[in-house]
Amino acid sequence: MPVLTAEEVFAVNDKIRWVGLITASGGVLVNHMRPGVSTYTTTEVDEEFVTLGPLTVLGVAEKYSKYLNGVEDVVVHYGLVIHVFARLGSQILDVSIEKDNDALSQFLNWLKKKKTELQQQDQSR
Amino acid sequence: MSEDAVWDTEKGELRILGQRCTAIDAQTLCNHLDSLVGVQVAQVIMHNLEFRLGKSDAARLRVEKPEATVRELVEHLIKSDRLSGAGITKVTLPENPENPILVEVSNPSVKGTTGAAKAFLFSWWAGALTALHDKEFDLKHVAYDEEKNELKCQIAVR
Repeated sequence: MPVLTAEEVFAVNDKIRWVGLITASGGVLVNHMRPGVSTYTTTEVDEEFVTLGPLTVLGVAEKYSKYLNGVEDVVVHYGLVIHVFARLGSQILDVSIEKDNDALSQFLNWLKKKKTELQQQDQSR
Repeated sequence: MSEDAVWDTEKGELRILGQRCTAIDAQTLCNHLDSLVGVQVAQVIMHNLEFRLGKSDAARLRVEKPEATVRELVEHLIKSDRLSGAGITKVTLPENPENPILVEVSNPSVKGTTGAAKAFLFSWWAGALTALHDKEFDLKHVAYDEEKNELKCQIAVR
C-alpha cells in the first residue's frame, strides 16, 4: 500500500515533475510524470532506475547514519533537474523537481512534515 | 549448449550453461556489498541481479531442450550449480504446485541468511523457477544448518 499518491506530491509545488515510490525490496509502487510535462528520459528508463537507484543512493549515504544521526534526505543537482531521495516509513520516495531553489525548499519542508505525520500514524497503531 | 562446464585453460575461458563465467570469491563479494550499502540494500541489489540471471539461464535451457520436463530442466540447473562451485543442490518440487519449492544447498559457496549472501544462491533459483513455471517466485524462509553445512530456502509464488 503506497504511503502517498503522485497527485499529493504534485500538489506541493508546480515545479515537481516526476514522482517515484518504491518498497524497501525495490518493488515499484509509483512511477508518474506530471501530466503535460515532457520527460527527459523514458518511463522504462525511470522504472529501471527507480528499482535500484534510490535504494543504492540512500544505502551508501546511510553508512554514516550511526555517526551523524541518520539520513534525512539525499539531494542530487543534475544539469537539468534536482532529484530528492528519502525514506518515508518503510518506503522510498524519489522526486524530480525543476532547478528552482524555492520549489526545492518548499518540497523539503513538506517532506519533513510528511515524515512526522507517518511516524505519528505508526505510533498510534 | 554444453552439458558440462567448459574450462579452456588455453583461452582462459570458463563456460557454464553456455555462458562465459569467471570464478570469483563470492563470499567476499557479498560481504563487501553488505558493508558498502548495508545488508538490506545489498540483498535487493543481489536479488535483482541473480533473479535476472536465473531467469535468463532457465529460459535459454528451455529453448535448447523444448521436449524436457520441468523436473529434467531442474536437474540440469542443479548440475550447473555443482559445476559452478555453488555447492551440492537438491530441489524438492511439491505435489501441490501452490506449496513452496524447497531448495537445499550443502557445502554452499556462500553462507548467510541476510544481505547479499541470502540472495546470491537462492534468487538465481527464484528467477529460474519463474522462467520454468511462468509464475513469479520469491524467497520465503532462508536458514543455515551449521552442523550439516547446509543452506536451505523455501521459494514460493509471489
